[in-house]
Amino acid sequence: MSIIEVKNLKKYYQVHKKEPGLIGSIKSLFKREYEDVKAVNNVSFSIEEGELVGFIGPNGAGKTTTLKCLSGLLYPTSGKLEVLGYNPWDRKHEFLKQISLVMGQKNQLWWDLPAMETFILNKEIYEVPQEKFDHVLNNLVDLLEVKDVLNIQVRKLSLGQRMKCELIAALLHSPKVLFLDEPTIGLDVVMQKKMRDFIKSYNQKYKATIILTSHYMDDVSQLCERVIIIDKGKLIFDGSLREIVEKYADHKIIRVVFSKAIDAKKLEKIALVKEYNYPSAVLTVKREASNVAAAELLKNFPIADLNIEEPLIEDIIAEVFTGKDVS
Amino acid sequence: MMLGVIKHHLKIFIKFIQFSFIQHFAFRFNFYGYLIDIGWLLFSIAFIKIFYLNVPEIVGWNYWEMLVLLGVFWIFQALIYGLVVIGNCRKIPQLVWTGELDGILLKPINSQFNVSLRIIWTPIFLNIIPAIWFIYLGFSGLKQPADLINVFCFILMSVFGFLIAYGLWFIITIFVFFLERADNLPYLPQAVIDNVSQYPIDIFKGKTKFIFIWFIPLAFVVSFPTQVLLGQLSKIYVIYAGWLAIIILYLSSLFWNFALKHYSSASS
Repeated sequence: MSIIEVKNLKKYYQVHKKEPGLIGSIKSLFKREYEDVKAVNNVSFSIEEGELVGFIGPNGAGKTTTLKCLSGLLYPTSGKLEVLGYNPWDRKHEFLKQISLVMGQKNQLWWDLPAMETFILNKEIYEVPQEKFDHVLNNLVDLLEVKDVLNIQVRKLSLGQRMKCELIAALLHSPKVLFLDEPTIGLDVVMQKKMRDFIKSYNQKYKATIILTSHYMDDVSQLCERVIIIDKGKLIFDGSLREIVEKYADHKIIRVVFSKAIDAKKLEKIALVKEYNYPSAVLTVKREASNVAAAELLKNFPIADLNIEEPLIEDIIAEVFTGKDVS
Repeated sequence: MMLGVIKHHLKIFIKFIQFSFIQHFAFRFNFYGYLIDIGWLLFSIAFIKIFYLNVPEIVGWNYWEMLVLLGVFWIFQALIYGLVVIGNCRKIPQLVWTGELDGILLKPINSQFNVSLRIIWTPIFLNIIPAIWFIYLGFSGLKQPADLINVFCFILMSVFGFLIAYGLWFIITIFVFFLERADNLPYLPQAVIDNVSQYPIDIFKGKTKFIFIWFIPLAFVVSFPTQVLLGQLSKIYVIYAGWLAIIILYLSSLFWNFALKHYSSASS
């Protein structure tokens, strides 16, 4: 039996539409217009124990709404959900003790108190035996390297330190299912890598089932074998990441700033010019040729700045939708 | 099993109180705020004294009985504001609109318990000290000792009265799930509950009095417990108070679970 079963999940909202400006605000006092937003529209999938699955899609695709339905926060409009054999909406305590939802920009740590106080409170709430609490806490603290900050008020911690403590608070009860919603958002590059390493080792060590949403391709590419793509509430793709990357992220983006005027036509010999507006240019080049192309550019053109970037997930998804059949 | 659940929640409640002490006394204590509260109590006493300089009784209550009522009201106010209103009910609209309620709903404890009691405002409990002093002064003026059975019934009835007030306050506050924006919603019950509870129920007549006894049973919050303490009301009202508390708490729980179906969280 799958750990997570989703069948024909729908979540619709009624949202009030208001015209902008003062007149619009006054009008809305007397007559309100509503529109139906189909945040999740007939989504079905299942996930086995120990899988680490990436949920990707543009902003507003329905990723977070799906996670919130799976964790029991939102009442589905229709459909069948089962997580660990429970109906999430019932929010039974035995169910809640086995899951965790970590949202990148939301916190559960008590702001005025040291993180350790929240950990102790969570120990009581989740009824974690003292010995197990000490063991798990020590493991997590070592993995995330936060031993020195546990007794400092949370409001005095840096964002990275706070995120690590949030993660510890969410994992103290050793959840079997972990929902991570944009866990690396707002973090610097070094912290993002540390977070990814931690999530990977947690998945391997504890065999936890993890669903991860992210806008960063690196989060998904480095962690997830399997990817589910959602857009406008619909499930577009469910399969291995390799398939998506090979088919749709076969290029890289090179952003260049020139120090002197150049003949733009000469750029086309090295890479495909997506945009040229002196002094900046945006080029695309095959993934395996990006380093060679960058070297050629540096050799033949007067360059003030050059960056090689991954294509945005939104761009890959856009390619997925412009006529390419992925089913 | 039920006992285990109660014990579990009691442990967490003790933790909430500990956290409140740490936050309010370890990091800051608003001494001047406390002085203002005491000043307000003294002003209330002076105001009542002025009335009684002109009349010996108001709706059958003399000055000393009114002192006892005022002391009981201040204890109720300290408890309801400290435990439920300041840190919790007033924050519910914000929790709903910002999606911070998510963190509360994900915990494996009763969510109504969590959202109602997690932030306790301990400094206000200091108001109980002068309140007890005024109850003592009232009994001294009446030249009657407090009967132990009456005291026991008073405490029991006050607990029921507190639960009735909490239930009504909570039900009104959670209308926020159905409104787009209502910052002042938690202040609405304050206007009614404070203003009705701090006077003897006898100031109301006819249908109004009937409503405040049996439909919006605010008479059971301060007025009736005080009369039980003074030995002026039948103990059967303690039973009525118990039943009303159970009904109102049950309704608040039903409404809370219904309201949660309309919770749409907030954007990430």
